[in-house]
Amino acid sequence: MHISEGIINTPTIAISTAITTIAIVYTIKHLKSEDITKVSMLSGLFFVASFIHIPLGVTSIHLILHSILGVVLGINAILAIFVALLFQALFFGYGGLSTIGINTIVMGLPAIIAYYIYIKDLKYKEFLVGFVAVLLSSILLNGVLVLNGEEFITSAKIIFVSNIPLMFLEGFITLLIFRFLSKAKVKI
Amino acid sequence: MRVVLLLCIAFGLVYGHSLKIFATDTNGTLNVESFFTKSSPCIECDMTITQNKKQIALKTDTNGTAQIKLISNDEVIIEVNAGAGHYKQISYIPNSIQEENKDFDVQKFVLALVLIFGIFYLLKRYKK
Repeated sequence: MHISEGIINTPTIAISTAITTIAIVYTIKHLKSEDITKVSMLSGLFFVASFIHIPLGVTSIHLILHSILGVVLGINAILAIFVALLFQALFFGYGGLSTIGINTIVMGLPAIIAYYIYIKDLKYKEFLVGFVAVLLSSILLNGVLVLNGEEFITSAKIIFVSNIPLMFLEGFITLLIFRFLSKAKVKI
Repeated sequence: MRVVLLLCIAFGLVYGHSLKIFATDTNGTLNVESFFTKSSPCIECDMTITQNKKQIALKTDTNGTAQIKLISNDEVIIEVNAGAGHYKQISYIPNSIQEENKDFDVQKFVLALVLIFGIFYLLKRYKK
């Protein structure tokens, strides 16, 4: 789900970096002191989740779990995702520093939408948040790739298809996590 | 003798203007160097990198080099067009992505986690 360096054009980098900067400044400004521990823990969870690779045919997929960040943190998920992406780029070359803005948007925006799905009274909303967050991230990623040139259309299609099992997997994992938290009477 | 001399000049001219491409890859980044002779790099030449039918157009810098992040270890076709009929294409098989994955560095992983928590710890102190 990470967009690497050298893939997207300069206007996309500039606009996405500007939007992310505004979002980060806003969240830091409005972040309550009592929420920082939660943001920190979930930033760590997001960082670790990307390293859990699940073999799938000839390839493998990794968990994202950004919907959990969105449901628990709301808009603060943007900050948690940004910090985790920063260290994934710096230490492991996942994504890149120039694409950190667009990667934050691709994963942060669906996380916030997941929050609004969760607060609605929907059946199987625990599954839906995970499923929809990966679906939206895949759509955003595809949109970015297609807007950056026709040569990426094939890659975008492959990425979308390979993310379909991940949508179901994340949906199932978020369902299990939220059901567990509900049974353990943990207030989200 | 005259023929030999003319042949040497002709060969020298052709060799001097023949475009060369040298590619390496480290930590998932493809480094390409394009030059006519050692002291004459191919400056701002059009370069096309093709991997898995995905094509990316680049321009070499003032040193005749260009870098791009690789997405896999599949064969890469590198084409350089210096204009006026100077064109060269090579294929290159990278191997650094696999090495990078193999070398999952636990120390880096732990350090990154410590830094993530460190940033928020500082933020908490600042917010108090």
